[in-house]
Formats: sequence, structure tokens, C-alpha cells
Amino acid sequence: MPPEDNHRVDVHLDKLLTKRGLTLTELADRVGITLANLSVLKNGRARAIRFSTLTALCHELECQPGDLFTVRPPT
Amino acid sequence: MGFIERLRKPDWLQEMQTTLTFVLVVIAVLGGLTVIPLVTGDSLVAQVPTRAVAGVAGASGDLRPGVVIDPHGTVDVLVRNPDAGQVVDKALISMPTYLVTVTVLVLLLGVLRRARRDNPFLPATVRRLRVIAVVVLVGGQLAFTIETVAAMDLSARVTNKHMGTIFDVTPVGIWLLLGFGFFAIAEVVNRGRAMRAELDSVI
Repeated sequence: MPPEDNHRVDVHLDKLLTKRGLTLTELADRVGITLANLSVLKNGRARAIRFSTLTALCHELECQPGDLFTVRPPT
Repeated sequence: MGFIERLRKPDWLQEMQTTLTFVLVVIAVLGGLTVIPLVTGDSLVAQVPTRAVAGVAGASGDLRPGVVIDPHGTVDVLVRNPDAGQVVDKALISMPTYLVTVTVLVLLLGVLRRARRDNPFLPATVRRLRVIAVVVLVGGQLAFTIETVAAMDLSARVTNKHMGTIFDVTPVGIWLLLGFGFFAIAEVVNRGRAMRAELDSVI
């Protein structure tokens, strides 16, 4: 069984949504994932993301993965 | 799916479900065939030690030279017009295992049906498999105990206090193995459930 992962990944979905003038619901519809899952991602509670989902998000938000995620330095 | 297609790509859950249903029907029929004569019949067969029957132990009859009836074994005897106690004993010699087996098969059929219909890696599936394991472990040992005591009691009732039955502990081992087997399968499914939960958290 894999160990519990405490990640240091910050998700900048809110900023990008505001920039593109999209709501979470609209983005979820366009990307093809549920609003619940997108909320989980936005709040940093996701454990992993599929490349296909990442591609779709970056396409809709017109960004790169590095714009969407940053890794905090260790404390 | 056509018949040929089914032969090439069997759905083992479906095959097992069909087989279990068939076995349950057969067992129900056999159970009925066992119980009905007990209730309506005027005789029953009991096992007694050979030493309880004069002239049998060590006898050879039509057996080849050097072959005799085992003096430490048992023989089947016909009990005419058995009393209620003897009938109850006879029923208790086979019904417990029959009941445990039917219960387990019905529970297993339920698990298979749900596994085919939904996602099999659910907490409920793990729970049901563990219930089956407990039924097998506890029910099996209980059945063995009841059947052994009933066999000994029946032998005592039809002879002059000769308590005799071959004390075969094989069923104890079989029930234990089956019980632990179901617990192991439940654990495998439980790990699958955990992995599935992990996968479900992938966005």
C-alpha cells in the first residue's frame, strides 16, 4: 500500500478562472469532469491528476502546467 | 454474447453464478429426498460398531480368504419403526452440514450477483465475504460437533450402549481451510477496494 502523500503543490485554478472569465461549473463542463472533482483539485485535496485532464484544463485555460501548479519549497 | 463467443471469452463470474444456482437446485432436491423418507418412512439406516453385532466382527462370509470385517470398524444396520429420538438423531447426522452449505452458497450467490451488477470492490462486498467466512468457520465446526454427537447417540440408541462412530476429523480441517480461504479472499477484495478508492481520487 502506498504511503500517505502530503504534497506541497499549490493549485492556481481560481486565478486562472478569473483571468479567463470562467466559472468552476463552466470549466468542469468543458473539461468533462465533475464539479466535485474540480473542487477537489481547486482545494488541493486531489492526490493525482491524469495527463488527459491536465491537457484539457490547460487547453481551456490557455495556460501551461506551470501556470496551474507550483510546488512550495519544504519548510 | 453468442455461444461460441462465450466459449472463447468466458465471463467467469457468470459461469460461477450459473453453476452455483444449479448446485443449489440439486442440493435442494437431494435435501428433500433425504428428509421426506425420514419423516414418512418406517425405517432408517444407522451406523454401529461391528463389535455390537454378534458374529460380524472378524467374519469373512463371501469375502476372499484373508479378508474379514474390520473388528474396529462400523456396519450399517436397518432400524425398523424408529422412535422419535432415533429419527431426530438421523436428521441431525446430515442436516447441519446441509444447512451450512446451503447458507454459504446462497450468500456467495448474492455476492456474485452484486459483483456482476456493480463495482465489486465495495466495502459491502468485503463485509459479505467476511460474513461467509464466519459462517463457514463457526457453522462448520458446529455442524461437525452436532453430527458427531448425533451419530454417537443414534448408535447408543440402537445398540446395547455401544457408542460407536468413526471419529473422522477431516471435516474440521476442511471447514477451517474454507473459512480461512474466504477470509483471505475478503482481504484480497479489500485491497482492491483500497486501490480503487485511490484511483477514484485521481482527477
